[in-house]
Amino acid sequence: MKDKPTLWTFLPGDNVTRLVTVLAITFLLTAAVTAQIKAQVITPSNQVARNQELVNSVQALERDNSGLRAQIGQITGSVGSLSAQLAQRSDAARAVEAQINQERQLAGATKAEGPGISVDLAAGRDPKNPGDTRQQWQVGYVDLQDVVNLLWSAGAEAIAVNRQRVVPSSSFYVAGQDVLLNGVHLSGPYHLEAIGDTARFNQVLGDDNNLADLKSRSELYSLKLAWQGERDLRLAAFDGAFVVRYAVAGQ
Amino acid sequence: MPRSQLAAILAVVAVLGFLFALQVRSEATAQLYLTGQDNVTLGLLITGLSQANNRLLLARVDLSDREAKLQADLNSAGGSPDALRAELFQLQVVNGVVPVHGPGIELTVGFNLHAFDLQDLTNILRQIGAEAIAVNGHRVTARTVIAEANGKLLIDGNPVSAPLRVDAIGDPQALDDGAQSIVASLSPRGSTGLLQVPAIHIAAVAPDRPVVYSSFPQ
Repeated sequence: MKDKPTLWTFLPGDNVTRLVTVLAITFLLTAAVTAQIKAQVITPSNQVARNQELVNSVQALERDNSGLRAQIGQITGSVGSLSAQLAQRSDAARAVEAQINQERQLAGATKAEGPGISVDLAAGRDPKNPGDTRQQWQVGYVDLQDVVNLLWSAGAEAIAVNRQRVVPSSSFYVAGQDVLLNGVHLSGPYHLEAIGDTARFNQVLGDDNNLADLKSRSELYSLKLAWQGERDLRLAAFDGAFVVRYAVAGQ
Repeated sequence: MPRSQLAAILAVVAVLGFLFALQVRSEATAQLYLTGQDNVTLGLLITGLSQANNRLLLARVDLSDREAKLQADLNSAGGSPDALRAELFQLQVVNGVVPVHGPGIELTVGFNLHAFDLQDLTNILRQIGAEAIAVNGHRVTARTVIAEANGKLLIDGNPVSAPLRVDAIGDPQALDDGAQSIVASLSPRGSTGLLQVPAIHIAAVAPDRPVVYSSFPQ
């Protein structure tokens, strides 16, 4: 009895030729479907290319920033070593070096350790409201500034945000929901650490009169605002440099 | 068709399907990453990082200069601590613990501000390169506590009220350019003024902040 004809038997050639034909058709079909879906996924305009160029620029600037910090770290090390050598030359130099060390500690230019508190801030649930321009479920630079200000008011001796020290010349630069602190790009979730009186920190953070807006948004959007006492915080030194070119000490 | 050939075809189709899914998925992920930051945010990041990098370049020049001076002091017979003193003065200026003078700008605001207004204002001044700031005679650094109590603006616990005079020492032109945006945002609320001043004197110093809990490992 003869086999019933199938699609396979309609294909020309021997079995190997048929197999190659099926594979070729499968590949072409897959490629066609992929191309079609890709066309739907990718915005059919120059927008992506433009956006990519901006991303490339940001990444290049961040690389430069990191490189410059590393160079500054090296020169700072050399300056410290030369200062220490000079301080051995005279009592006057030794006295000045001791004052420098004290000012460097105050400025945040040295590592700092001690008890204190850590505060975590993270974006909450996006309610996906159309036309939501305020994006109150996000954590912004204002929130960071408010928490840092509150910690200073409670006697913080040293503060860091995502390992970046807040120093007297620091500024929070807003870039959408991200910030630049000391020129370093930070984005949420944010982890703040402050050395000082843990009980006092707990008290001011727990006071309903403080950070009222943040606490209300935390309830509304499940935005994360949490803190806990820390026994042994270790904060890195400020890794930038102070620029003083116009201000002269003295009246 | 033999079962083995059919199995081979199915396997190839399955692999192709997997690769196809992977390809589409990676494209979608790339797109998500790119659209994660809108162009305005990316533009702001570029501006902010450029400013920061320019300051780092200046800092590198200054530090190299200090390194050379320290080396010169070391090579001199007496080992003069002049370069050390220069570093000390610079740190004291940064910490706001000594009076300072220099060129800069004077910004006046004829109406009361909220604490967040003043925080933003001084934050922007530091961002554009202010090296020393005072508000109505109170020294302000990033460590200054700016708060509000019973409707009164407080700087490190001291009440301040309008008219407010903000002195900022730094590159007068850069500060003036940067402060224009502050004036533009405040002027609809009342009188404001902005002047470049060749010599600003800030006598106020930041209050002492006792160090009780911190230790500073080498």
